[in-house]
Amino acid sequence: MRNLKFLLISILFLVVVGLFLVETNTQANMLFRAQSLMNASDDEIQKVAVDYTYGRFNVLSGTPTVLLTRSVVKDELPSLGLSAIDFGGEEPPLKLVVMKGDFDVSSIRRSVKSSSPLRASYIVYVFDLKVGAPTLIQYSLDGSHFRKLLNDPTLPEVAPAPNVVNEPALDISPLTPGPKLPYGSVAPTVMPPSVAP
Amino acid sequence: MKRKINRIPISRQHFLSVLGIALLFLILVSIVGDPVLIAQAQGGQSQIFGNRLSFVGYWRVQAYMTTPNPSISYPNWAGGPTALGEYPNPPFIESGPTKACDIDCGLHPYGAWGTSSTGGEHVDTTLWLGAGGWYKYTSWYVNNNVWEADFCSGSGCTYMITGNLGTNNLHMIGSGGESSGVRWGSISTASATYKPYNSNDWYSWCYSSTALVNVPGGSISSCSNYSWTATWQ
Repeated sequence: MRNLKFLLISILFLVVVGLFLVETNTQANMLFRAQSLMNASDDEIQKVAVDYTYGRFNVLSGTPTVLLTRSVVKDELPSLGLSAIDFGGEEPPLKLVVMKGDFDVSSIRRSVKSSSPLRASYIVYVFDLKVGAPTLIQYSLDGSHFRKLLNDPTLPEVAPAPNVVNEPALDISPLTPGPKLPYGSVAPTVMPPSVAP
Repeated sequence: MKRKINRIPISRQHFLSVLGIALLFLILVSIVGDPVLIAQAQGGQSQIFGNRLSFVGYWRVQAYMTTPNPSISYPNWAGGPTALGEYPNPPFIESGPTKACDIDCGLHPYGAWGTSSTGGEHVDTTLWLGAGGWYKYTSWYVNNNVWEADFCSGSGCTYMITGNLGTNNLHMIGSGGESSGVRWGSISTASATYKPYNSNDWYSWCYSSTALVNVPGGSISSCSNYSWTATWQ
């Protein structure tokens, strides 16, 4: 009888632990769901940015903090020290969110072979408010790349490149710009010459 | 009449062993049962690239690629780059098709770049790609150590992203499949061309080395007519 009681308690314990583990895993992956943020307040967008960070990347220590939230247009980005980007469709309303913390951003798209964490102290998101998710993500190990954006002279300056060569490009952009398609359009395909009939 | 209960002769140590094994099993199932967690736990990406190394270096790479549409879920992504870089190390710049379940699970063009201390990715959420459809991707050197990744469809081209890679010359070009640790099916590269460092001439290329990282059972076809396919089913 005593053993039976012990068995029942053990089973109950296992069920509780199992449910806890499943629930924890589910929560970790359910934090973020893309949905329109067109009418969202800055506070709501900041919460989405935090949820996205936990869902997409690893927070290695501490709690991430939001340093800046502001509206932005894509043409402003280079003047803020960020990458220039363009859209094939009509430009959506954009919101910039800067986060500080201890992040592992290894899951960002990158053609680099690495099994160790890719650490970053700062992440910049540019949210497409129509889709409700980041269209641009930039990260910095020490924040030096976002010194201008954050207007923070305490951040280190970007180390100069070892071989800055200011030679002109040999030819101009390979782009043949096309018209902006309506937001959400499916782009027409273009067959490679070696495959086209 | 009192019913006689048969006692099972199991010791307390027996119970503790069973409990321990069961707990271990539960923990394993909770992790293995979720491929998302596996991808994150490994902290690495899955890659199948056909690469070409040049000691002279490169200024531009271009290729047509198909658009994979695997069954994946948040927060995973799959796709493939046509890239310039110093693989397996940074810096790099690339563009390609992606199924972006880290965003909206849509098929979009993307561009990405990185150095040892910074980088970024831009997924064009305003534009969708046709599943299996061919599109053209180019990465190239602009000037002042700035590089650009582009996307072209049947209605024209647009730039995806620019990045300062701290160099005006990269020595590896590559194209293939890549994901956050999930299978992408097949992705084809065709009509692969490049421009060498300090040159304005285009050359067709086949890969001379391959990189298969974290893709058990994955494969890359041989290069034919400057085209190949990276498969991870």
